[in-house]
Amino acid sequence: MLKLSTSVACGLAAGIVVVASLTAAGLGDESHAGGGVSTLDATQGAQGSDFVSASIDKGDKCAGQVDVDGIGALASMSSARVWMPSSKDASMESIDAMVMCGSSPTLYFTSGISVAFESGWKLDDPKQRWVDMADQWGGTTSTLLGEPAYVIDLGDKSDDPSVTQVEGAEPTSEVLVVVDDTLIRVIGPSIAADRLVAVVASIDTEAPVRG
Amino acid sequence: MSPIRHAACFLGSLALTVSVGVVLVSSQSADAAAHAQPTCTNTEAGAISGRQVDDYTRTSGGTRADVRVIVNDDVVCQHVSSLFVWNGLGGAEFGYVIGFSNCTGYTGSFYENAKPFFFVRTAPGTQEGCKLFGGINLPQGTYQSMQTSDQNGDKRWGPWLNGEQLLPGDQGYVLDFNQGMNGFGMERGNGPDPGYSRNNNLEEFHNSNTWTLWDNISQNANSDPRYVLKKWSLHSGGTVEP
Repeated sequence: MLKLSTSVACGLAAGIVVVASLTAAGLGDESHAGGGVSTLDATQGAQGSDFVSASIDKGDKCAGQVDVDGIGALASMSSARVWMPSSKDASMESIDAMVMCGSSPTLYFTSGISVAFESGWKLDDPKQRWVDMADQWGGTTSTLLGEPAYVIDLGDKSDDPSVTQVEGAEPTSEVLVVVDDTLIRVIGPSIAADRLVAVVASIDTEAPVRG
Repeated sequence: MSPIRHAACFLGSLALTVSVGVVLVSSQSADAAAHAQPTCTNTEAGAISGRQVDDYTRTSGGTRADVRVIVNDDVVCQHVSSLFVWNGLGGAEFGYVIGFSNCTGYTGSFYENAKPFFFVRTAPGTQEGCKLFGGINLPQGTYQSMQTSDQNGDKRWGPWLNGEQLLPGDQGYVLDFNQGMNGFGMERGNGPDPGYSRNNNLEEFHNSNTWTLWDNISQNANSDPRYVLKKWSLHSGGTVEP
């Protein structure tokens, strides 16, 4: 037993029209979709991907975005620690948006770089973790903020035969490092990894944002 | 506003106390056949996905459900039913495919029997990995307990089928997230392909090592003119309506 409760208010009348037509059909017939055209050439195989991404509302930065007013408020909304970088590409002066993306406080900067923080990342062997990550996806390991880190530059690839580049995706660099149990994830579409490394290096881990 | 858009809004307006399941059913659109595609090169004749949206879901370490394997002789291109955990532009998906798979290494073959597959994408949305379990046939008309998770917290995501871990040890995928938003989806490859998909007992995994039922379901996206999302009560057996 669980509780459904939302407060969305919208056009119930038209919604009922749709549901009414469905009610007559119950939960539907699973063996037939109602079509019937079967003159297709099915020899070419399916193309593309079986992956359905979480939808991002127009104007939002991420799925399930919650806008936040101020860095302090952002820090208070998650168990993840939040730090403000102070680099040329990412600083308080170049903030484009501060939002919650799912459970992650995320900073978007005008440079196109984003910095997200995710809790629950207590790793027994962080260096091995990033070695495994590089084996899986490509990229290299490094040391940032005194901690093992993972760096993948634009276009890096792994030798894993089950891994492919997403068709049409913008080449993107990424840097990952864990401080205490918080993952710092820096992403830069069409931005070289060294600029992301500079963003991470500018973080003062002794000075987290107070929520 | 389209009828389907209204339907999504309608689902979001529920205020009930029920156990719920999710099914995607045909809207029986009169012009459905007219939209059939001439070949299988276009796999997106339609897709519907839903998600759980609440403060807890966004920290989910896994999703599982009893997924119905459709009774079907009609797939000419592809039918997919699957579960997700999304993070950023990435995610970890476990489901089954009938027809052509898009998994690297498994394309070009038509699978008449439902095959489980596990698909992951990194958080920036730039790389993806996929494994199809060609040695497993999921019987038509059965419910299969499917789970995608990082349940043991080793940051390797993997699929579980009826309690069995299909990629044990270091076979799971190392990903750049360990929590996310729960979702489910249906995809069908071409006009006549069936889109019926059914998931019972949708659950999420918490950091506290417990599984609990989803407590909020809403439509994520619907690009299919012939199918809609419906919820029903497992207690009453009836659809959940206002």
